[in-house]
Amino acid sequence: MVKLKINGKKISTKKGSTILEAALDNGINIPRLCHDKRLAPYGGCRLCIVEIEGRRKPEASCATFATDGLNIWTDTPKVRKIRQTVLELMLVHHPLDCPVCDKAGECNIQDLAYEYGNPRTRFIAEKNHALPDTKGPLVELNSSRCILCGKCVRICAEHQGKGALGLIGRGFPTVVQPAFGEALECDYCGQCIDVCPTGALMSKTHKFEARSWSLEEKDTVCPFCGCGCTLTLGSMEGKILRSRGKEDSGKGERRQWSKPGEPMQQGKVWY
Amino acid sequence: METAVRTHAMLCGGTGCMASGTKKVKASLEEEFRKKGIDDEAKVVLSGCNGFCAKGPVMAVYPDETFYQDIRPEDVPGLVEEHFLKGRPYEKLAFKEHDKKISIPSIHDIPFFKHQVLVVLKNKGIIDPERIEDYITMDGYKALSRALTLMKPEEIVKVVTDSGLRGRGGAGFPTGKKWELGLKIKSDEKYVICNGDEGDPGAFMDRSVMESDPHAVIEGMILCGVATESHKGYIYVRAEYPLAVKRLQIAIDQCYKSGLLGSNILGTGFAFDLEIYQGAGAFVCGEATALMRSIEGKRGMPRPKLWRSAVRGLWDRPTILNNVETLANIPQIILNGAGWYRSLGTEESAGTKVFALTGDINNVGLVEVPMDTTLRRIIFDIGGGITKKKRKFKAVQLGGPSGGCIPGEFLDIPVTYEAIKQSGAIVGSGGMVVMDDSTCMVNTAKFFLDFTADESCGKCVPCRIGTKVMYDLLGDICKGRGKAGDIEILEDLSEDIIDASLCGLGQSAPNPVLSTLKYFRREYEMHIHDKWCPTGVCSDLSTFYIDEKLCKGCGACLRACPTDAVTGEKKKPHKIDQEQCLHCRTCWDTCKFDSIKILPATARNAGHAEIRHLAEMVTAGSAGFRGKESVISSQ
Repeated sequence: MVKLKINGKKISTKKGSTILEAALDNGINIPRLCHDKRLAPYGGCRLCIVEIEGRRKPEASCATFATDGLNIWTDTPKVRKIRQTVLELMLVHHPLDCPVCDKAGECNIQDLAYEYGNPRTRFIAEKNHALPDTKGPLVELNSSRCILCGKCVRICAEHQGKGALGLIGRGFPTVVQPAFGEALECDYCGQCIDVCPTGALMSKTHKFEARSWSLEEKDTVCPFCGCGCTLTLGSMEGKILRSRGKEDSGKGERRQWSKPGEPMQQGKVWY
Repeated sequence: METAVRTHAMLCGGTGCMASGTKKVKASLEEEFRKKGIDDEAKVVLSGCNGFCAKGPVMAVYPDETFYQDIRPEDVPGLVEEHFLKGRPYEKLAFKEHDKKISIPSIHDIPFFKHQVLVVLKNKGIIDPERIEDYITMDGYKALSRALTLMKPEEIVKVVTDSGLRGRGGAGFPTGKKWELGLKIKSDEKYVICNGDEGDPGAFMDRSVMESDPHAVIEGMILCGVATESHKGYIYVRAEYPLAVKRLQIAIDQCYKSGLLGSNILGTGFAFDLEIYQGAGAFVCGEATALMRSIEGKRGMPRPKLWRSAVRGLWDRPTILNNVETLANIPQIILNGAGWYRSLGTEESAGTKVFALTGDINNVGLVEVPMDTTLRRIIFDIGGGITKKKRKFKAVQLGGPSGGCIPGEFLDIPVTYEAIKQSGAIVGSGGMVVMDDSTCMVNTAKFFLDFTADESCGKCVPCRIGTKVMYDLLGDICKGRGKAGDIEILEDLSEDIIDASLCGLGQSAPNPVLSTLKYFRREYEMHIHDKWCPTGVCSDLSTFYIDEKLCKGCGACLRACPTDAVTGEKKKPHKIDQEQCLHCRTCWDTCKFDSIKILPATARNAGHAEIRHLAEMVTAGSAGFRGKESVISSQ
C-alpha cells in the first residue's frame, strides 16, 4: 500500500495506481474528460491537473503514479485557473447548441462549464459548423461538438479490439472518423456513444426522441443472447426510447466476457 | 587496388551545394582533368557538407588546403588551368571577405573556418561519406574496437558521464546519466534509438552530420549498444532527408559487410543490429515518446510520462534515445578521454555544439564551436555579420519554435545551456536565425506560432487550441485589429499552456511570444495602440512616405515599385500615391538614402502637415507608443 495525502486528507491506495485513481477510490473528485478506468492513461484533456508539493509544475493526476509521501492539492487557485483556461479553450470551437443537443443534461463538458466556466471568452471563437456525419446506419458523428478526448477511438481499439474509429489529421483540424471518412460500419456495440463526454457521438435512433432528464432509467438484462449483459433502458410514457451501458452497473463477474457496464453488441441498439 | 593520386578536389556534396549545382561542376571538373591529361593524378571526391553553405557549390583542394566557392561549370577550365596545372590559387573563386577585395585562398585563414573547433564535424569535407575506408583512415571504429576489447560497459558509461556531455537535441539532459539508467535496467530486449527527426525551421545540423559522416553516428550507436547492453538500434530520420537516408543506408550495408554490425562484431561475439526508420515528417515525432509510437507504427503522439523511456520505451522495453549530434560525439570521447572533452566549453556545458547559422547574415552555414564561445563571435566573426550594409543587428532566434529571440545586449553571453536559458531562449537543437532591424518581432512570433499550431499533434487541449488561439490573436494584432489587453491575454494564456501541456512541444510553444514580449514589448504596443508596424513588415499597419528633404530623385524606388505608385521626375523628390501603394516595402528596401519613412497605417488619410511632422519624429527617433494616446490624434 502507498500512503499519501490529498487535500490534507491522509489516504492509502494500492501500489501502481495513479493519483486520480487514488483520489476517486477515496471519494475525492477530480474533474476529467479523457479518463476511463478501462483504458490506458491518455493525458489529453489536462483537466485532472493537480499540484504536488515540491514539484515545479502541476501534473496530470491521471498520468502520475501515486507514491509514498506525496502531498497533493486538487483544487488550488492555480489549478482552478488552468482548468478554467482549458475549458475556455475547448469552448472556442465547441458549439453552444445545447438546446438542440440530446446530450444536454448528462453532458460532462456542460457540467464542467457550469462549475468552472467563464461566460465571456477572451479569445476569438471559431465555432465548428461541420454538418453531422449521418452516413452510418446507427451512429451519428457530430465532429463539431467533438473535443478530441479520444475516448471513442481508444475504447474501440484498446477495449473492443475493433479500431473502427481513428483520429484523422493533426492539430486544430483533427477529427474523429472511420477510415477514409466512410460510413461507420462496425459491430455497433455502442461503447463509443456511452463514453463520449459530449454530444459528438450519438445514437441515430434516439435523436430528438427525449430529453435526458425526462427518461426513466431501469437496469435490466439484455435478452439478445445468452451472455446476460446488464443494460440500462430509458423509457418515457411506457415506451422504451434508449438503451445504454452504465458505468459500474450489472453483475459482470458472472461471465468473463460481459464486464460491468459493457453490454455486448447488438442487444443495445435493437430494443 | 586504387592508385594513389597527387591531389584531391573535395567537392561539397551536401544538400545545399547539390541544389546549387555540384553535380554539373563535378562532371565538368572530371571532363577538364581528362582534357588536360591529369585525370590519373587529380581526383574529384563528393564530400559531405562542408558547412559554408552560403557560397555553394564549394570545394576544398587537398593537400594544398585551398578553398574555392561559388563554382560554376564555366569557371572550371580556368580553375583547372591555374590551380591544378600551374599550382597557384585561382583568385577568382577564392574566398573574399565581405566588401573587401583581398582573396584568402587557404582554408585555415578564412574567418569562417578559423574560429571553429571541430569534434562532431571533424571529418566534414575531408572524407567521402560513402566510403567506409575513408572513415577508418580518420581513426574510425577505433573507439569501438577499444570499447569492445578493453572496456566494460560500466567503464564506457563512466567516461561518457565524466565527459559532461549533454543531450544535443535541445533539453541538455546528461547523456551519461541516461546511459547509466539504461545499463542498470534488466530486460530481455533493450533498444537504442538515434533521433534524426530534425524539424526546427532553419536548422540543419543533424542532416549535415548524417550526410557528411554517417559512420560517426553509427559508431556512436554501437558504442551506446555496448554500454547499455542492448542489441538493436533504430535510426529515425525524416523522409525529407533522402540524401541522409541514402548515405546512412550505404554506411550500414558497409558495416554489415565488414563485420561492424551483425551477430559477431569485430569477432568479439557482441551482436548489434541497426535499421533506418523513415519518419513522415511530423515535427512532434522529434519528441521521444511520439517518435517511439511512430516506430511502432502508431499515430505519432506523445504519451504521458508515467515511466521514463529508459524504463519503458519502444515496444514497452527500456529504450535509450539520443540525438544525432550527441551520438556523433561519443567515438571522440571514448578515443580522447573525458578530460579532453571537458577541456572544451564550460564546467556545466562541456564540449562543442554545432549551430546552423541562417538569416540575415553573410556566411550562412554550419559551424561548430566550443560551448564557451560568445554569440558575438559566432555571428560577427564566423558569420561575417549582417548581410545588408545599412541594416543593423536586431535579434537572434535560438532554439527554433521552442526557443526565443535574444536582443543585442546579450551578444556577449556564451552559448551554454544555462546562459542561453537565462536570456529567455534555449540552445535547442542549434538553429540560429539572425535577424536585422528590418524584421518585425510580432510577425516573427506569429511565424513560430503558426508553425507550432500547425505541427501540434492535437492530443492535449492547451497545445492544440491554445497555440491556435495565440496565433489568431497575433494575426489580429498584425492586421490592425489588436485591442488593449491583448498582450495581457497572451501572457496569461502562455503561462497556462506552459503549465498544462502534455509534452515539450506545447510546454515550449509560447516561448517565442514570451521572449519577444520581454524584449520588444514596445513593438507590440505600437502595433496595437498606434496601428503601426515600425519595420513595415505588416502591410496593414504601415504607410510609406518619401521625405522630400532626403530624396535625391535617383529613381531606384520608382523602377522597383510593382504598382507604379511612385512618381516623380529625375533628380527631383519622388512621391508615393497612397491609393496605388501595396505596402510591399520594396521601395524602402531599395532606397540608398534612407529617404523613405514608415509611418502608421492611419497616416494614409492624414493631412500633409501631419505626415511631415510624423516623418520628422521618425527621423529623430522620438515617435512611437506613448501610453494610451495614439500618435495621430486626428484619426
